[in-house]
Amino acid sequence: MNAVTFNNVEHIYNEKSPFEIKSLNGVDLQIKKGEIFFICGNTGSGKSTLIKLINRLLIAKTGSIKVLEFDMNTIKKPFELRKKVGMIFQYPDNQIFETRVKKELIYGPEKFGMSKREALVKIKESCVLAGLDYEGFKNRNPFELSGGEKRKVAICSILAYDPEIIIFDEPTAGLDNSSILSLKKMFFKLKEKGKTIIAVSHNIDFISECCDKICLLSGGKVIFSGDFVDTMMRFTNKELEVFGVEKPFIYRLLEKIKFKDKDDFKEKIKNIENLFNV
Amino acid sequence: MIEFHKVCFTYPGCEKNHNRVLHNIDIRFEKGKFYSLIGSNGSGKSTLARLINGLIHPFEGKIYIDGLEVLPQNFIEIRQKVGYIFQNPENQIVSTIVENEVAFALENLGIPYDEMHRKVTEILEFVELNDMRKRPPHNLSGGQKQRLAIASVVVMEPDYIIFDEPTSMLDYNGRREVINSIKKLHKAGKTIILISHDAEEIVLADEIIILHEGEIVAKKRPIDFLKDVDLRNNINFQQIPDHLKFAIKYNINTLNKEEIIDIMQKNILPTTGILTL
Repeated sequence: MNAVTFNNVEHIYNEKSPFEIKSLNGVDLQIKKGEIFFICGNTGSGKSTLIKLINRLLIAKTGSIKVLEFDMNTIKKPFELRKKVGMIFQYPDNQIFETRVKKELIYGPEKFGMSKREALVKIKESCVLAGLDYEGFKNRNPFELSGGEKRKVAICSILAYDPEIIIFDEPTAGLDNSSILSLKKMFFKLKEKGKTIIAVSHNIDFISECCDKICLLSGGKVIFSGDFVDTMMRFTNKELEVFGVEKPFIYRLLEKIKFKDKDDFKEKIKNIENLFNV
Repeated sequence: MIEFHKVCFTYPGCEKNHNRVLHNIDIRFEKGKFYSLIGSNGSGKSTLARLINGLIHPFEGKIYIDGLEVLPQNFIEIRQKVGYIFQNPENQIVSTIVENEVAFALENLGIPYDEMHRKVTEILEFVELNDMRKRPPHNLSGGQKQRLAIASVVVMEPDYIIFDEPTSMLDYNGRREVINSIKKLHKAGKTIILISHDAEEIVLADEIIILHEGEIVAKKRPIDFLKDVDLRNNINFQQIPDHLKFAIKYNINTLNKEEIIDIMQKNILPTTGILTL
């Protein structure tokens, strides 16, 4: 069952003006329900356009997009869609607007019709998931928090209304080691709950640890999509630079070495990991 | 030299939360050196950095820049000595054209046009943005925007430059560009204070300063920091990139990733016998 299906989608900014830019060009894409799906691409590759099309912040010029049960060409009110598709922006400052953390967190759930009591339960659950100490932070002004803490508030404010698809734009940016670790755990817990996670990221170590599928975008086109090992087998570090990501160290060590097939490749990676006890 | 004498700081409204307080910070940043400032989210890194150029003021203690105390009456002089580059360049870019952005501060100081033009060109060449000088900043990529922010700070010729997580929002290419600019600035004699969570970046420094719960718990050379597992566990810095783990394990005499890969491929992997087909 697909959570998101793109069929030959095109998107153009500033159409019929001198600033016309075709940001997506014939994109076909399927994201399965319950998948952790990463999107990589350089600046201008169309990543942001793509994720904005999923929760209808943008509307495609041509092609069809289906998200859960909604057909983007016929949907009248995006309210129901937005309830099920949450998005966490790259810069938490662009998303936070309340002056108290507790107000920020309850805004979404209340707008989507939850009772106060229900919302509070959900908020506390999300804070546990994201590693934010609710009691300690609820009366703080989110704008006075550190970058990493702000990001956690932004994440909680979306998780609190329990969307089915959660889109993250650069989720690890500004997070320290242990916060990245808890983010990873959070991704797995959300997956366990059947949520679909779509993330734009350049943090290849993070991607390698939790992705089911990765899609590489360039010039508005999907160049490749597959699991992590497939991606590493197919591209060299130099080639991956085009998509704004770096090949992980262990995979780079194997670049000059021949291998028979995927299993052989995986075994060699494992051997290196074991040998060096990494 | 930047000197902190027993500096304490608390944000209003969180006096009870001890995590948010800087306690008794006593530290010196020597001229021309490259420092990395690390610590977990909320440990006080940005707070410490903001105290240096007077964006916030200590509750107790004193801070001196080249002997000049950080006080409102000295702000003009201090901010010419200390440049600050934020995480998100959008927070500091104000002009609609790249070259105007760089000229902004010079114009405010009333520098003559010819000299201003020469300086702007020089700096844009330094950060490799001269080709884009007529472009609007919002058309630049993340890495280019961050380099523009660097240019508009560096044009003031500060001796000390604080980088507050300058690469955390950038992709691989953008990060490399910005790191190259930082290295060049250090080579040109600037004092660098780099706040970062990225182990690959912090090891570029001469010295790593470790903040934990508002206190400076250690000051170490990068290699010593990497080897000090207890310290890293204490401050939640357990994870280090694989190439650095290998460098430590095999006593490779460099922390540069490309060099480590080369040494591993040429000298170490062939002796293991696990990679033959």
